[in-house]
Amino acid sequence: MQCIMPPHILEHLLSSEDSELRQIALNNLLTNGRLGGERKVQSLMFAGGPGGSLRTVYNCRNLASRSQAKVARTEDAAASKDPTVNQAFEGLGATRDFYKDVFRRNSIDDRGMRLEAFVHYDKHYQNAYWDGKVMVFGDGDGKLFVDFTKSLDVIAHELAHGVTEFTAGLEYHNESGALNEHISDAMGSLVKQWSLKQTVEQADWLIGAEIFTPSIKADALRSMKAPGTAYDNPLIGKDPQPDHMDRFVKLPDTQLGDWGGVHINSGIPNKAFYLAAMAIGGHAWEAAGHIWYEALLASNAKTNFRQFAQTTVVKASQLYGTDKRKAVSDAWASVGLAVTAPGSPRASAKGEAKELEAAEIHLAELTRQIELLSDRVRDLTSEVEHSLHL
Amino acid sequence: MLCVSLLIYGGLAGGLQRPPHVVDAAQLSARDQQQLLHLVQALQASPPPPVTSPGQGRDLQGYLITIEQAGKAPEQFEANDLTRNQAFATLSQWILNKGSTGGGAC
Repeated sequence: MQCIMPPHILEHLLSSEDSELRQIALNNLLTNGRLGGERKVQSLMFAGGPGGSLRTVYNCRNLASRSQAKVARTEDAAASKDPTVNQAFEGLGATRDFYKDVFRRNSIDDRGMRLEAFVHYDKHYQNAYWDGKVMVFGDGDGKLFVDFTKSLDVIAHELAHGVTEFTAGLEYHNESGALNEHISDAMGSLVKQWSLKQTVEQADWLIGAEIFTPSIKADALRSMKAPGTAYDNPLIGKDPQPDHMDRFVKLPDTQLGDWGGVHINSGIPNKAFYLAAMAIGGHAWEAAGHIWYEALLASNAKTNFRQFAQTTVVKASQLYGTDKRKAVSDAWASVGLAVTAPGSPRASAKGEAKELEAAEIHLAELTRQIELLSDRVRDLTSEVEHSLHL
Repeated sequence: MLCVSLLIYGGLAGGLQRPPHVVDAAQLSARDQQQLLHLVQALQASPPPPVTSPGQGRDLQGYLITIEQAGKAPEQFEANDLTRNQAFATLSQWILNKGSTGGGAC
């Protein structure tokens, strides 16, 4: 039986002086597949990085320059009189807490990176973006869009771009770029669902539902539940997102082509994530969220749709067993990405043997590294205790 | 004849098809015509660097300025939130203030 031991108990057991308890924790980490490589080990052993994931919100005062922005709210300061500042601050906090509580991730970089947001950027600016280090939010023009900090999933979407950069580093064009966008949408929706304690049935699965003005007939920027249906009106056109590989949109790998349609074709994995979460049921951030997050950690810059689908199926199998593996596999098949997984009838015996062998080698190496780190931590602990007694 | 348009595209709302903002100099006062010509010349003298890759930014909004002048081939200048320089940003803002979206491109 696969079981997920709560992370705080695992953390406690890993630091236990009792070698048997440490071994239990170690075995649990290895067998339930939640390591996600050395990054996870580091986060457990060195939680609480130098930045302390402190939040700072800056006010650009409607200038198109961040260098002239003023500090509007810091971690220990009282709430601002400006609701936009507070929305950004609270949104960063909710997203930070989500990653910490759900994935045991310590901020964007897993090392306590500071979270910085710039609000009131430019005049009538109708966008929110991640520049590689910070998040920037516009006020909208008041005709089409309103303040972009109004949607928690938009704030979480931008912050997730940072997480992706520090993990898989998915290249921002074509399929890997659409996966990059998909991860941001999925995590954005999960943060909102987690914040509202919604089940998969209660969630709206919309991205940016709060940022259109009431006069615009549009549900949101995107719908994970029904890609291609978020809006349809003469002013902004029809939502172009596909929900199946048969309708994959080929666009030029240029800025004007949305770098191969990264915001367009993300509809396909978005739909797969929605279907998987619905089939699994309950709270999406639990099983489905963990499967997707672990798949992100196991991905690389060039991972494409099929490879990511395969990884989620493998992670579902490792973390939760047959039922959830089938739910994930069926979800991908529904969007035209049929993938095989270890243990499924379609996977060849040869392929399984190779995969198992590689996994065993990987686990043996991880075990060795963890034992070395445990020895170091034990030695350091002894030294500290010794010095305290002197 | 001088006609200038600004297309804003991409960004977080990547799929939206927004119409371009267009300024036809023939519809402007003499003072505005002079100001537009000055801003166009400033951009032509100091264009932003070409956008050849997504770089580190994510969900960056793209901007495309098209300039049509009598007796010259149309010119296009492209930038994004991280690459637009002063000349590009100033002309963009001017087009947003003075232009309209109802009449199509130049």
